[in-house]
Amino acid sequence: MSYEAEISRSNPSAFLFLIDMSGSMTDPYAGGKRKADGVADAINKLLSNLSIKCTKSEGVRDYYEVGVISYGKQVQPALGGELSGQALATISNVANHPARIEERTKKEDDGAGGVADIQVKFPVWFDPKAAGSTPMCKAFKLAHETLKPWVDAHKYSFPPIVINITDGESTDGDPTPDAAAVRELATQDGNALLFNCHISNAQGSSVLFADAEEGLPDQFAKLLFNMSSVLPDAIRDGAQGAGFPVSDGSRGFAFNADLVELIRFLDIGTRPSNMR
Amino acid sequence: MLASATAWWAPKAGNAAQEYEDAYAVEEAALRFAVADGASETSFARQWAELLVDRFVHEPPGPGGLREWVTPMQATWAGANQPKATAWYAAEKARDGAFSSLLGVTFDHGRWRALAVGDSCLFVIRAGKLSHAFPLEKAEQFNNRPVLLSSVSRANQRVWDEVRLDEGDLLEKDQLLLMTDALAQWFLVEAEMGRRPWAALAKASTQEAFSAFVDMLRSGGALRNDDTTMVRIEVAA
Repeated sequence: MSYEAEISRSNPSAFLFLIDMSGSMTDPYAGGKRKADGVADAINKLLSNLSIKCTKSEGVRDYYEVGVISYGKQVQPALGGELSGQALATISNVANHPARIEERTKKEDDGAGGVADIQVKFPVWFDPKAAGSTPMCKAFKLAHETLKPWVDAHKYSFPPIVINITDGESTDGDPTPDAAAVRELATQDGNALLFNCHISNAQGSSVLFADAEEGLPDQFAKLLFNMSSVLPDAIRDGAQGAGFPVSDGSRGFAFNADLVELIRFLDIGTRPSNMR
Repeated sequence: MLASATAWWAPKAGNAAQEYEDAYAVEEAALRFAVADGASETSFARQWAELLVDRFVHEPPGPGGLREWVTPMQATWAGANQPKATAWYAAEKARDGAFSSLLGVTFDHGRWRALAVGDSCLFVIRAGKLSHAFPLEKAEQFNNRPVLLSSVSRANQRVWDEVRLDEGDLLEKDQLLLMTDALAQWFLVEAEMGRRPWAALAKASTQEAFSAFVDMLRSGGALRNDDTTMVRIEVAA
């Protein structure tokens, strides 16, 4: 059976995010934020959640390696601070080296019928720098180059999950073959999973975990849908448990998700199975 | 009434003994017994599980109920553990609290009384048969999201309606088994197939034999890889 490996410190898994930072990402998103800022918030929130998830009494356990590649004017590893230039970093290194930590206020149920304002730390690893075109093929090539040695070194691990977040059309050719090469990377537990989040300007209601290209408004959404992996059982069950309508054909594809939905999509996509 | 009790435990395979996050407590003289399963996604879970079982056997919940009983321990847990959490992620995690199941059993006037939050289970074996299972009765009732007692009060709002109580009579030579979820699930599967899992467990009389038995079940896929704990109480003849 595939996609059943237990994620442990001896057999960690990996997440690699590919973030479109082309010029058009400065366009406003639902809610008025620039797309690039919204996506950066989502990625920072996700890295923060993953760090906390891997935290135990004695510190952060290395259940994952994580990387962020941005593509736009340049295609390069995009974690900031001390992690600059690293394509993949262990989650303990990520947790211990944010570029900076901001203080934000959050409302929380105080357990006695009231709501309390509490101060929370908001670590930042990734700052948006949107400019240039959309070299998606090159981004998939760098993902392949990053993950090839990883899968060779982690044969028994839950395979890596690659999540591509983009608002537009690839400007360096059809990304289908490069995306297929990424999905061909495999451990003994299965092939790498590729998820795509299309934050489009096109009209149309949001679709998460789509199971058919019908209803997607344009060619590019359909292309991304077809490049996306079918959800393995564990992730499909997670999506179902979170209230998403899913079927056997559901893929790791989100179209026009707003920010809250994007974070939920990422959260479900990065919950592949039980950590030990 | 006299009873003797013994406890066995095994950490998750691949984890060190100090990473074991179940807890158990036995007070034979007072006839109080408890097991708890600290949730592995939370930090300082073992400390929370230990607080719960220790207090249960020394000072079980009174008529004020579980809510009142838990409150002082929440302060103890926070005072002992939150200051250790200095890194941003440790502080965030500690703020989320620790979670644990609790199964406590007391003997009184020839009856057992049990209290359960979550999926740690009590099985009563009488005259070579499983005569009672609590709070879960079927293997299929186990899932990954049991309701658990939290060390932060805001997370316990859902718990108070889910506290389960039960009681029954005690006869000489009755055997009561308290188990955390992985072993309890295996136990019910075996019992549902008409086997006698209590007899298999009785053969594992030492801690070494118990560990070996758990390893064997895990490697055969019959037992989920999880911290595993059992307390066996034997009512004297």
